[in-house]
Amino acid sequence: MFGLKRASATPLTAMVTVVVVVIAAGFALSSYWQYVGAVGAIYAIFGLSIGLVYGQSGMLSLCQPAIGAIGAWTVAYLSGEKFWVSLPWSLVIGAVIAIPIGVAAGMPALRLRRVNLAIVTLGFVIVIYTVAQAGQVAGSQESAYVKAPTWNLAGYMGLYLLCWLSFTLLAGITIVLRGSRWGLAWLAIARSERAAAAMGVSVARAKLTAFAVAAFLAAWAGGLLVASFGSADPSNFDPVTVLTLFALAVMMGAGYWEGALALGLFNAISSALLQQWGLTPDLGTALFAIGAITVLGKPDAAFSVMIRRQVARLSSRRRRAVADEAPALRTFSPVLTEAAVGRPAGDPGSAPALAISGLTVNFGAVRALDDVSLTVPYGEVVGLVGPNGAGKSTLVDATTGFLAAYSGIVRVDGAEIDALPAHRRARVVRRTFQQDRTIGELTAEGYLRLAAASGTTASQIQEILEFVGCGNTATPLHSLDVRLRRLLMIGACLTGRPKAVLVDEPAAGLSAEESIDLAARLTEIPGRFGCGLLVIEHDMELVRLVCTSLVVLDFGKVIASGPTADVLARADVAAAYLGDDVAAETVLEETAVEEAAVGETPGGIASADVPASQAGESHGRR
Amino acid sequence: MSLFTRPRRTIMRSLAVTGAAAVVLAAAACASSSSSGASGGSSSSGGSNAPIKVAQISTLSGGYPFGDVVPGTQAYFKLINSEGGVDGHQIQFLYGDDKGTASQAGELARLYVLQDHVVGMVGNTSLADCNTNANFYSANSIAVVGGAPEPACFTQANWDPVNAGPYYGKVVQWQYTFDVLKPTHVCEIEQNDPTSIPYYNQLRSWFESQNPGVAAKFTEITYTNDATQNPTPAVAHAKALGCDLVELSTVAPNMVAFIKAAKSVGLDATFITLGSAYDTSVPGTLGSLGDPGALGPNDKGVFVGAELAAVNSANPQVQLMAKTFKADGVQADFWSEIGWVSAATFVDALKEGASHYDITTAKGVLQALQNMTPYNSGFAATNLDFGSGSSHPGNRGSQMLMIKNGTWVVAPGQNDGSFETVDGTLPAASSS
Amino acid sequence: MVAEILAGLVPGGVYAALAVCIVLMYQMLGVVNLALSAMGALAACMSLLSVRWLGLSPGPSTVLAVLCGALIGVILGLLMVRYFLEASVELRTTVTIAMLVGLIAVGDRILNGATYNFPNLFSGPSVEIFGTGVPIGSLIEVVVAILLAVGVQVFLRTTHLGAQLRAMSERPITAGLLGIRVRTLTVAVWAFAGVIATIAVMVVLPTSTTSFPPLAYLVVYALGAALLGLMRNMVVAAVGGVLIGMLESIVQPSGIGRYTDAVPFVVIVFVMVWWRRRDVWSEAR
Repeated sequence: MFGLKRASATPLTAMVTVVVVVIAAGFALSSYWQYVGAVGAIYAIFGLSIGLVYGQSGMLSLCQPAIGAIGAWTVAYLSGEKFWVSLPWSLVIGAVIAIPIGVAAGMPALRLRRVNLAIVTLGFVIVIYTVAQAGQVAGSQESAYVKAPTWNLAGYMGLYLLCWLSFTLLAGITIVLRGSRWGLAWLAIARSERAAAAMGVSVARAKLTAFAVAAFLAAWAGGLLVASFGSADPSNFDPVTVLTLFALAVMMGAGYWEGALALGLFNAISSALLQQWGLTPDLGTALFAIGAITVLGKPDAAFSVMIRRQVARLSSRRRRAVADEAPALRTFSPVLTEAAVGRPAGDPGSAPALAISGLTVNFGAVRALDDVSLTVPYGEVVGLVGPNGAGKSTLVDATTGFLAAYSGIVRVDGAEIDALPAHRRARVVRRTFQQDRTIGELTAEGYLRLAAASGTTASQIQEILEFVGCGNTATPLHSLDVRLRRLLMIGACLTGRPKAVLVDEPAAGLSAEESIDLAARLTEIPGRFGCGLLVIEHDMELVRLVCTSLVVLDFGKVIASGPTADVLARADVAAAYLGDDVAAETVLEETAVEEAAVGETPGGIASADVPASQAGESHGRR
Repeated sequence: MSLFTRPRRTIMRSLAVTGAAAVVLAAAACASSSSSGASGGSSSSGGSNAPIKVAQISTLSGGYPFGDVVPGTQAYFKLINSEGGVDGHQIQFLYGDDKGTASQAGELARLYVLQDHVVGMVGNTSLADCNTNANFYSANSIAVVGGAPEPACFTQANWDPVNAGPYYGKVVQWQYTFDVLKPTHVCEIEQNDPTSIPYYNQLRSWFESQNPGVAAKFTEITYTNDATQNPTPAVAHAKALGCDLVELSTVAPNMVAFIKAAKSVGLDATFITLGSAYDTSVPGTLGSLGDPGALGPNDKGVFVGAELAAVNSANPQVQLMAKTFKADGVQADFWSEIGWVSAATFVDALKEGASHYDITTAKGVLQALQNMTPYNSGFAATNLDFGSGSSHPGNRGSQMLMIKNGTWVVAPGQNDGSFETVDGTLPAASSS
Repeated sequence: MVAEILAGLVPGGVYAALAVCIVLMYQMLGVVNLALSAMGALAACMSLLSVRWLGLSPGPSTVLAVLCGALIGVILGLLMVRYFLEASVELRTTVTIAMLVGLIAVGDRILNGATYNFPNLFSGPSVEIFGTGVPIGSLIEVVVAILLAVGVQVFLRTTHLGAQLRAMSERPITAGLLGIRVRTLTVAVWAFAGVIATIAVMVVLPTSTTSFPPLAYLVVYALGAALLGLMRNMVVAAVGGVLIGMLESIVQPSGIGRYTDAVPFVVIVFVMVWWRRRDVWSEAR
């Protein structure tokens, strides 16, 4: 996978370096501390597992360590007299067996989110513990003994090596995966499932792969636990232990490998020290609880986040120089007037990029869209305008597969796509969102890579980055300004090489110069990328510069459509906006200026584009 | 929070983290070079007056706590030390709580053996220790004398239980029940312990074959995985079945809960429990519920098969223990007795072997125990003994006690004086 | 069978009372309080300690425990209000998970071993129903839990304070701007939940055994009951709690008794999958 090397190389090197140091240190430790260190590696692997599902993929699942029981039982069973499968291999077998179980555990996550998922997974933890105690599953009895390997090394060095080499391997896997499309998909679904689907990411597959890999990791750790403690004791997977590990993972920020490593070492060393000082292990647990609550209140306090900031700080000087090179805004070339927008020498008989016919959407008794039809030919920019609440975004949702039910037919390049789910439609039609649904942690390049259709080359991504005007590919998106992020959202659509692109209010909140720059780029899109473009906008200046034809919606019905100038001159269009007979052009111009200045969010308070704190308000009513 | 707006706070925080990490590592480094533990102390071994360092890993909290075993052990060692120790060596005693978990049990064992260099484990009464550390102890020649709540403790060469254990205890219980109490219908409310149930079933078949007519009177109710669930449903079930005697094998608080639940549900039955329920505070807690007839006409009383002699027994050794406990403020119950008797067995073997073996080393201690002369301490039905076998069955009888006038008294009708011992030999566990 | 079903009233009453609290806290405060029964259990431990150290008799020690329950609620509520007032539901719920872990660590220190003489204020005489004795305390608890559910719902609908609470639950920030004392009300609800949880746990304590974690896990059973009410209807949640208690007590002595703890999970999964079957997307547009 291209770009993989670049994305993973630094963390991989760092991780391997640290672990090599840890392993080397092991030779100098006493037998007892080797044992403690080995157990630390095991908890670190549990941390990787929790971090992958919760830290990276944003799913509040509590049961990851409990799935480790599967690995424990497998290793215990295979180590019995009947079988004798030696240790590294029984670990792999156990980890592989856990994969379908992890997938099964992930099924509820397809429909349940957040709190609901936490509740179900908590119940699952208790079920696993109950099954462990019942001792009916092969290998789960306490009396199934397993011997730790020695590999002809003194003391516990054999076990230490096994555990830390396991961590290296598994952490390496998670780092590589994090930079791959799977990992990017996990970050995407953590941020916004809709945006992910709109980029062509199958949300279901991303969730299940996260659960599958996490199960693999946890089961490997579970198998190592049995090797260390000698038997598959149910107490290893009791709910308090599992929840404590979860709390630790939060505290340490186990979504990153260094957080998982810190989790493991911290847990093992604190446990050992408490024992040495004759204090109860409950003290450690209580401290973890407090630490977790602290981090939940201040995510910056997570250990791995602090480490990353330190590292970033050290290299920040270098970064700042690069960041200053933002390319200048483009001006709208007089050559690019409406008439001159590249119309391809298209065959009039060929199918349009996007054809919507008879689209009707009801929300209960409210008819949001009423028999709407529109066409977006290749090489053209069609505008969709209308007052607030007219149904524009509903139309985009229906077209791109984000509405459960609608009637009518949507055709892309002549083919009907109504039966396809959103992420499949994203192969042929792409959309942007009114709100910023970019993925802040990704770099511009990573973001585009995630959205790209398969087979997209690095140079194609580069081309789109240049088209969008983003020179700074190494900074995470959350450090870029709104305008660039907007453009990158559009760029992400383009990397999908769709037949049609629907852009939802791209100019909202932009200044006059920025709008012109945007207009310049938008007009290029159909010709340069061979698609049709639908632009939803309130900014009439932009609309007149960019769109060859216009469709006007009001109360869910199409009240006008045709060439831009004609439509804008119509009185009923002005009336729809203002309820007034004043001459359309001048009034519309004034309105456009006002709206751009106020930066009003269309759709009113009910729209999701509200401050984060308000969005959290209406809880509990789902 | 941007890096650039509050750099100083970031520095402070990273300094704090680094500092904390340094403190932890320094402490670890210091701790690794010297020993520590509940009673603190220095390292080094050998030498003519070096202390004999021993440790205990017990389940002191969590689902099934055996709280008083540590004070019981400590009381004995304190007494011995005040008398000059063993062969001139003072006993140094460390202990840890494994909370019934394999992880804590495993780590504590390695701490005491590898780091603190103890020469033996005394009084271990833990749910996890026997399973988790079996191989570890034998690999390091560590002998263990303790209380065994798990079947695994009865099958190891290095582990000598001082109690009778659940198997002997059960058979004794059945014997006494059918020989003396003669119920019409017995409900055995059993905990679901998957490792022991197969052997229990085997023993029951054996017992039933030895005692015809018994099988018809038995009903087994498997009620839960651990001693912490509500006993009411099981008790209601027993009432529905019409049982007039309930057999339990659980700890004292749980037995008290069962009897209270029986009262509230209206179950009229005798209660008999394994020695794990022996606790001198039970009669006080139960109050009048402990008296015969409290639950109804079928209620012949509350019985317990104490695996070691009752604390108020007349035997001088037991009286010494009772006196010491009283002076030291130690609660007298099954667990503190186990602690005391384990320590006593250990010390007696060392005293005997001091002239032949180097009892300041683990190997020497193990040899001393393996070669000790069995003796009757008065605490148990059979002789206290370690021996060199590949497993040690513990003592083979119990002292049946019942509550009368607010205290435990020796129950009448036992077959071996004040103890009830098993008639015949128990069949070995068949592998299944 | 009848005996087991009636025996189920004992745990059922506890679940009912706890379930009402869970729904209340979810609706009013936007948090699924997974530390609820742990709060009550820790406060109940205070009664035990007061008997042991201060020699209090059952009555006063129970009162003390209830006050401790309120205090624990206040402390946790203040924590929530100070740092997590504007957090999402899942963030707050995750915080309660951390609280649960911490409370179990503390509780384990207190409840660890010997026979306890828990104040016996609530269990005691029994009433014969269909040949089985049911402790009067449990019967009362069941009735009280259902009445509580009804009462709270009536309170919320008809009183001024109830209206304030409902406003706060829908739009805390707006409510705050309107002069509703959001922080005070939040802490008050936490304290109320603490009191109810303490009483609920103390009713069942004398007949259950003395280690902390199982008391802390009672909340999972109550959660199943709360879900039966779809996290909205307290009366259904209360009745659901009783039903779950009965189900548990039927399963416990049966052949699959070793899997009794899986009972609430089955209920939870069943309800969740049915309730959320139409959820495809994670949030609104």
